[in-house]
Amino acid sequence: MIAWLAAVVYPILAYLAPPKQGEVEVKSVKAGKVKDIEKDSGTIVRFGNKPVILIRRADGEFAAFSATCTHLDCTVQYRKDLGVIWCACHNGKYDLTGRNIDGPPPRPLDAFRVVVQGDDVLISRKA
Amino acid sequence: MTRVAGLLVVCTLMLTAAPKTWADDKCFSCHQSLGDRASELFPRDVHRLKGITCAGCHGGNAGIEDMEQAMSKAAGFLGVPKGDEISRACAKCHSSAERMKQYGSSLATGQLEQLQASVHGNLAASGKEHIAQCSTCHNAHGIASVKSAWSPVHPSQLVKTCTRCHANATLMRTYNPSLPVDQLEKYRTSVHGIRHSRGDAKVAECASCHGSHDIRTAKDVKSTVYPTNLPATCAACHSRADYMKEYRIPVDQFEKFSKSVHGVALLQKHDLAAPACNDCHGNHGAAPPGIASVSNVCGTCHALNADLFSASPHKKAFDERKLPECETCHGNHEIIVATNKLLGVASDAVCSRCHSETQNVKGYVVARSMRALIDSLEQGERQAVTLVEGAEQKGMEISEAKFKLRDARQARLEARTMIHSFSSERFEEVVGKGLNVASAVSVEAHEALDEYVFRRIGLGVATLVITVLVISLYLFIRRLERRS
Repeated sequence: MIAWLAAVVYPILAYLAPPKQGEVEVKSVKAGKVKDIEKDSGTIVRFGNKPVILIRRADGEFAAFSATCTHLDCTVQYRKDLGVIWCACHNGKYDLTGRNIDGPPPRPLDAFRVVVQGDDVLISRKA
Repeated sequence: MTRVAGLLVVCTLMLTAAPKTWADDKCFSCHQSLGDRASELFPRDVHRLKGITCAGCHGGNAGIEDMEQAMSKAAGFLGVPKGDEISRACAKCHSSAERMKQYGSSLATGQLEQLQASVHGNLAASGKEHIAQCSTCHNAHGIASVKSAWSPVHPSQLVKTCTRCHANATLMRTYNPSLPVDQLEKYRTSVHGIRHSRGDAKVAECASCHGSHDIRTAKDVKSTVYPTNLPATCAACHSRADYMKEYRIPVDQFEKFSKSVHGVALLQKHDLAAPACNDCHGNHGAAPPGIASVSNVCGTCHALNADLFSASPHKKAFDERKLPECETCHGNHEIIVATNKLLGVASDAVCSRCHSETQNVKGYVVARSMRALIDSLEQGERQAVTLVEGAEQKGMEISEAKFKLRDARQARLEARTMIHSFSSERFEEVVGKGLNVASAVSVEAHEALDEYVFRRIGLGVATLVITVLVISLYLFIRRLERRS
């Protein structure tokens, strides 16, 4: 009887009241195909539950940064007309190395590693 | 070792060979007869007044008539000190509390150490000596007490003394090409500089903010003008009611700033992007920003808000009433975190100071509608967050919706910036974007929660069926056993 309770009732109770689980840590994501990403452009890529901005510079080089503005956590975007990473909330600006250059952001954007594997663009956390 | 021995000889001679009267100071008598600049200045030198002769710094024996003997190595003659020898010669006494006491001085004795640790203690372009020696600022033969108005380091003279080098672009370029050389020009436009030029020796001059012997670069965390140290440096005068009394200005700026959103960021979080006093008032050209320039000053960081305000109908209204733009609603030194409470028509809302149901009615209507909209967005966002967290806690896959929630939060922050346009249409557009996201996320979260309930009911039914089946099987087996 006890064995039956343990085998049947406990899983049911555990299923009904699951423990809190930490967010699954994402190691890397595939951002797309090289041919699909235009030069001089920026794309927001989901990295777990956080956005990452993938920049393809005019010279074709890739760079990726956390897309969370270091001021008040808004999502930044690439402004082709200004050539900067820009935050719409308070006009914060970062250069294409992620360095905060204007407005209220107090520090640079965290950089991610970009690896081109064949035609795939992969983004991963820096060690 | 030789140097130490030399210094000992000089010190001994200085104390023992000092002439009883100035007529006995043969060095001085001879040089005076030559009419050189040193002997012209020396009679008023604070050191001479304390009984120190030429030999005190140059060595030799001031009591001997014969020049060869008086200026011989045997008499400890050092000649004219050059480079670092100058400061070392001064430090013989000025670094010794005992020696200073003998001369009845209560001056501090760490000046040379401080000087060497300062930016002026770096090596000079020649690479053979430090940039500044004691004589660079205090002069050599006509050294006056700091309290004397003709001392080059007296508050009334110091600006001139510092700018001898600091306004010399050619010289400064050899050390730091990016360092401005217009400090004096700016200082003359500052409240400090204007008062200083009228003879007010109480106002800030170079040393008031930068220190004297221990001057460090503004990037040095120990510098008195390093961003996190600067407010306290300004407050050293500006928070002193007794000192500031005659200027009839408030003395609570530092207290207010420390509590403000900027002060907390700078002083507690050490966020160097937050402004210190100089970011709004200027540093060498420090003055309160004029009413017309307040938004430009705030706009150096809060550019979008300033742009929106300048294009809004409030710009004209504020200009006509001569109201300082950002300051009117947000204050100056004690700027608190802007919350929704500032917006609207409630008694604690800043809009209600000028707008009411009978006065400036259009603004009243807009303020009330904006407040209702941002409250609804906040409520929608909060509800979506609660639902997403609930679904997540119940083990449902809801990460996509959680990711979208960022857009609702962003819309709320953008809306708060958009308030500065004072345009209902533009505000509604941004808030609408956020409300749509919050609503879509809530729907997804509801679906996830419904799915959760469905799964639990399914689980219950399945468990019941399995349990009934097991019990039936058990009873059936028992009946078979009884029959057999």
